Amino acid sequence: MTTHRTLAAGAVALVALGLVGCSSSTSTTPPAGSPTTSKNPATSELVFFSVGGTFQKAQVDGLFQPCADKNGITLKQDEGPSVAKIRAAVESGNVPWDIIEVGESDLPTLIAEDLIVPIDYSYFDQATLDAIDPVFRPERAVEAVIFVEGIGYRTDVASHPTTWAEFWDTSKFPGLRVMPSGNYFNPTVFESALVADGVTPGQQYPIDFDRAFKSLDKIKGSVKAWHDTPAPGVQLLVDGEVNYGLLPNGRVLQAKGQGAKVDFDYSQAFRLVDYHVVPKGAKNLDNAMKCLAYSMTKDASVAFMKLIAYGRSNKDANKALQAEDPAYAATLPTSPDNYAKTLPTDMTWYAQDSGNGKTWLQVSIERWNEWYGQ
Amino acid sequence: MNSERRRSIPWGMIWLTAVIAYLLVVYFGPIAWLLRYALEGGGGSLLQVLGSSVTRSILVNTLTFAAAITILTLLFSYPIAYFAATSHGRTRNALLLVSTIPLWTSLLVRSVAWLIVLARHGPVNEILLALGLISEPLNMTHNTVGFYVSSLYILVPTMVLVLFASMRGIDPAHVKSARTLGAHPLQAFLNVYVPLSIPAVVSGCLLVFIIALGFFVTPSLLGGPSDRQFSMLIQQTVDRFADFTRGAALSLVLLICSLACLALFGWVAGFNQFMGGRYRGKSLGSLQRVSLKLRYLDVPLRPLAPVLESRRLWLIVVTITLVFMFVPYIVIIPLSFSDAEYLEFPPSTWSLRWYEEIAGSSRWLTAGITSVVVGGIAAAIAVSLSFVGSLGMRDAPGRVSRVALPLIIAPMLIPSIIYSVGAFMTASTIGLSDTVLGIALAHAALALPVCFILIATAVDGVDPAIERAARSLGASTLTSTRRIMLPLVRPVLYVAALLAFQTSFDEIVVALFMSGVQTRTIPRLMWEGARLEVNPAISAVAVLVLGAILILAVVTGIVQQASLWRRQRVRVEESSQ
Amino acid sequence: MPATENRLYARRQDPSAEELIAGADRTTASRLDIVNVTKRFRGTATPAVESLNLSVESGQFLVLLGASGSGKTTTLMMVAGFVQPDDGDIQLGSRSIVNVPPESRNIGVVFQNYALFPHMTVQENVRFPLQMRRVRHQDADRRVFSILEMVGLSGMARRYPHQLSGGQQQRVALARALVFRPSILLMDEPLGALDRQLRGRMQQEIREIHREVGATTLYVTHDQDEALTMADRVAVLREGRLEQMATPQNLFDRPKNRFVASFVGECNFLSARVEGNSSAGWDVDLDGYRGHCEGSGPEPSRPATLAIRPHVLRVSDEGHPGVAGAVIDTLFVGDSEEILVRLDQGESVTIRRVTGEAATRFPPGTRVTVSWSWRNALVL
Repeated sequence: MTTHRTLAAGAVALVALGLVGCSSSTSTTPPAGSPTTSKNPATSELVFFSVGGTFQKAQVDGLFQPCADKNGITLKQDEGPSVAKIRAAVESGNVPWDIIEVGESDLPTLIAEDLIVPIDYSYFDQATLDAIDPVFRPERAVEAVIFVEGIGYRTDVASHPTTWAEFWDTSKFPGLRVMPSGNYFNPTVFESALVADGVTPGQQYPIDFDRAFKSLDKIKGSVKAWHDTPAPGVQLLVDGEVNYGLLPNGRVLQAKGQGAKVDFDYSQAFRLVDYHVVPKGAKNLDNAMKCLAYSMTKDASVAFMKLIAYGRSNKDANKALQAEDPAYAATLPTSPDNYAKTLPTDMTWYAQDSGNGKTWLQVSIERWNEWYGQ
Repeated sequence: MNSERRRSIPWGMIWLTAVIAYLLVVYFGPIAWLLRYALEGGGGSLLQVLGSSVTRSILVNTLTFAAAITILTLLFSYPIAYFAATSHGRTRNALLLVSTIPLWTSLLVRSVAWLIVLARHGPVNEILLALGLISEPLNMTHNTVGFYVSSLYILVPTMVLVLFASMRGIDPAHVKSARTLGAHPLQAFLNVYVPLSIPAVVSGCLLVFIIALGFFVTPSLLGGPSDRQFSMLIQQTVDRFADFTRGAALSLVLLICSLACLALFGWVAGFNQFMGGRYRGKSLGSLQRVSLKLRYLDVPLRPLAPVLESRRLWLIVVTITLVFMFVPYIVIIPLSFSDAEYLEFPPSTWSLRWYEEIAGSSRWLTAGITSVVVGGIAAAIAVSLSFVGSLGMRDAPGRVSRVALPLIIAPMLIPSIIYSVGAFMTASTIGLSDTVLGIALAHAALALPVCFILIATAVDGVDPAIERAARSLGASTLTSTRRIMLPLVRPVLYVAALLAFQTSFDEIVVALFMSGVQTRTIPRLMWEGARLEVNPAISAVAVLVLGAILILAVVTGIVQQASLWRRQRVRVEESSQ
Repeated sequence: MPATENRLYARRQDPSAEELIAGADRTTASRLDIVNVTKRFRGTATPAVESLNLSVESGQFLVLLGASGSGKTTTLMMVAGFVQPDDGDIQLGSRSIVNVPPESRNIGVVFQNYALFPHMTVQENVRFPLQMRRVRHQDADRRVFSILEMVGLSGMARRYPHQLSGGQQQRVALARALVFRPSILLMDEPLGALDRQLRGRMQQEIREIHREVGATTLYVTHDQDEALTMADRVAVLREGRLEQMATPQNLFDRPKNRFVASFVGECNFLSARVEGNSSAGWDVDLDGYRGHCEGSGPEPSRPATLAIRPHVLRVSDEGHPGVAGAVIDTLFVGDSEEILVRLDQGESVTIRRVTGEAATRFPPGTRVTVSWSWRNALVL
């Protein structure tokens, strides 16, 4: 459920989107003649469907609540999105959500199956549009958050690994680990396994699952738990149940900010982007577009980034935060020092057909379920 | 009486039909729908599910776990139930109250509490380290240890209740006469009491086994990779992957397993168990005779007899087990006053911030209101149906009630995840998903068996001559029910309503599937809290809920006492005789 | 007659509220006719009640006497309306009530365990039937207190049933069944749960109340002493059939067959040679002792016996006219004694005589003669 992000692979993403998506326009201006949503009936609710926890709280408080308050909209929430749920809802004709957070690997599927509607950029103001690279505002989605998943560690342990190979080295870095399962929002577990095994970062595609599982076998005994959602994983690190974990940076740093003896190392962290989409059949289209537009503005982005250590695509916002609180800005994944240490991913690869009608994502889940529990 | 007035309205049949109709529509209908889904296309998905080795191994895992945990639960519960059954008055009430208090707290919270208790830096490890029994903290969560411990904790209260209910019918004269015939206490126990308690054991084991089959909250939170349960698979398939066909097929497999177990039970204990008959199964008799073999334990256990026969010792064992019941509360209550953002035990800083946050959170308040409304509706429906159903069961001809009873208690004997999936699918189709009414209707069906058993027992306890007297004095059937039967069973109705309310309030499985954006119940929020945001908020909610339920229970008790006091008031106006 | 019409008709028979208040305690007693009623219960071969014909005159006290399983309670329940007869009719005041529901029959029932409403006070219990008839509160209360006085429970109005003794509960049940002046009163073994002394007192009380109130009463019991004491007439039931219905005196003196003779009081049965018939009488020869007596004669294919009550027999020294025999034993039974004598012809008899100082003693073994007045003997 978490979001995938590619920063350096923006071009690849563009091409991928262009290949799979319906729109041929890649200009920076909003596509002319997009299905109009500006004449939608006014409604009073807005339902936001995201990943939950402190992260979702930060999103609501920073990105959407101000818009809701200003326009007299009641903001409701749900947690735990998945492509399957969206598909089921759209097919049944009863879609309870208006803005949904999805991972980058989910986008191609959503577009191909026509489950999401194009974003009405006429709601956006020009300054905002100019500040955002087109990669982050394609036809049917807008960027939600730029983050990484990497090595979280306990500060009361002597040392911590800085590469995945070291993460796998249980003699040099003893203690238990926590890792995302194969059912997690992002299949980063496989990527880390491959890099640990020696695959050059950036070259992990196509994912060699056999090799990945062999690699995972080596570390299996030291993994206390494989979490399906991020919060329990972070909790284990905070509680001291594990010494190290493959975790999202923002939540770990938030815990650190509250006094937990944990910290995050950007070395070899995997870059990911999540997107916000509007499902087909959403009941509050007008509100959705309005508040999406607001969420991409500089003010909203800055507010969000201050609440949790994740990046946003609005360049003006980044500059403003840099000016306002450089120390804090240095902890974000978008700060150049951190960015340099991170590794690229290509989440859209997972959306491709593996050959028999199943996407690689589905294959990964199936193979995981077979491997897990043995 | 069987032969009522020829042309009178057959109220008995009408009531019973109403209750059965409700269950057919609200409970069996969705399950049938589910089965239809699963068998669509020639049962292809069913074959696929069975063909997967992963699924099969999880199924075997689940069955093994259910069997193992049932036996463990029996070992822990038997002494407690034995003591409660053989004690009187205060001791008995205290034992029962303490061993069943956990039932009043949400399943989720109990599971999360064990996560904290068994943590590497949790109280158990700290104590063991301090005592020098271990040098390294034990890894007890996210693996089989934690899973079994917390499962045991959750199942013992139920088993104790069921065992007690049957055991208290064992006439103490049997054991006494064995003693007069020369048997030592241990011998008397093994030769007489144990075989007599077999029906209780069978009932308890059946119920616990079925519950264990449907476990998915506890293993999700506390289990490890090898502890994956079948219900988890179903929940994942339906909730996360929205693969309804596969989910239905998986549910069908689980249903078949459950029915097979019920059939086995029926064969052992006699099918009239389900019909409310006394334990007359032929095989039950042979099971009792088999249990008689346990008496040979007397010889090897003889040297230990003074220890084993010491009632005091067993009282200590029972007390320790009961302390075990309280362990999570030692965690939950202080934790709710923690100031930290994440779960931290013991809390280093204290505050009421989580209570404040919940009181100020519209999410929790709305959920609270939703839960109360749903619970209220569910209780009203369950109690009304149980009351009229009891009347119907009493007045209807034998062959009708023999069929009706198993239908009415079915919701207790089928893992609720199967029903939840079916209810969700059906409700979505007719637009009742994510509505208060939809969830309330489902909860009423789930609460019906227990309410019915309670109320039917009370109704049967009223001397039939009393209602006949009323009718002979000029009261119609309806008036007689309203003025005579209803006041007499009213205390039990209150208790049943409270039970139904609490069942609904804490119910997680149906709520997980059927609630969504518009209707969220407290358990639903707590589940998300445990999975997606782990902070002390849920323990604060748990404390509040427990407090509320306790207050409700006290109020109910007071209302009952008041009506009893009214009856016992003696006002002698004129000179007494 | 269609059911609705019956029901309306039944309602009109109820004393109106005003009548209930204004009138004295005497009821509008009706006549009860049980006409050829049969009832079979599923699963049993023999019918519970078979072709029963029975009438209770208006104001009469009829006791249904029989062992358990004789059908007496079933009959009562049919009259009350809780059991439906398979065949036959039941008429109250010459109106059929078979299709009338129990609450409309205006019949008072006193159940075996009194069936008082535990959640209501005595006053509320007794007031209940009046409330069902929509009698005004104050009027009802007046009536309730009046009847409570009649049964001797004036001070108990506010008590609850569980605070009363068995005898007191009995009386409340009676008061409740009478307060609305029913056409007929049914009582199902009401004194079974009481001890002997209390039972005796209650029997008298019930008779007194009956005299005062004048209700047609159908009283069921298995206790023959009770039946003889209380009844105007007794109906003896065996296995669902009516054996004999007569006044207590006639039942005792002139039992129709061996069953009734031995069921109601003790009886000696001696084998004898008989000749004759039931209308003209019988010539009897018992071991040489001859005489002529009445009797309905033996049942088909059963030997003829001479039935003589123990108190009818006389015992005297050897040599007197009568049947010879020897004393086996003498039992002292308080106000009387029983002498067991084995007659020379082989059978034994029990002789009962009042203990008196003038009576001759017959120690065991004494040879005696047993005689009787042939008027008091019957051939059965």
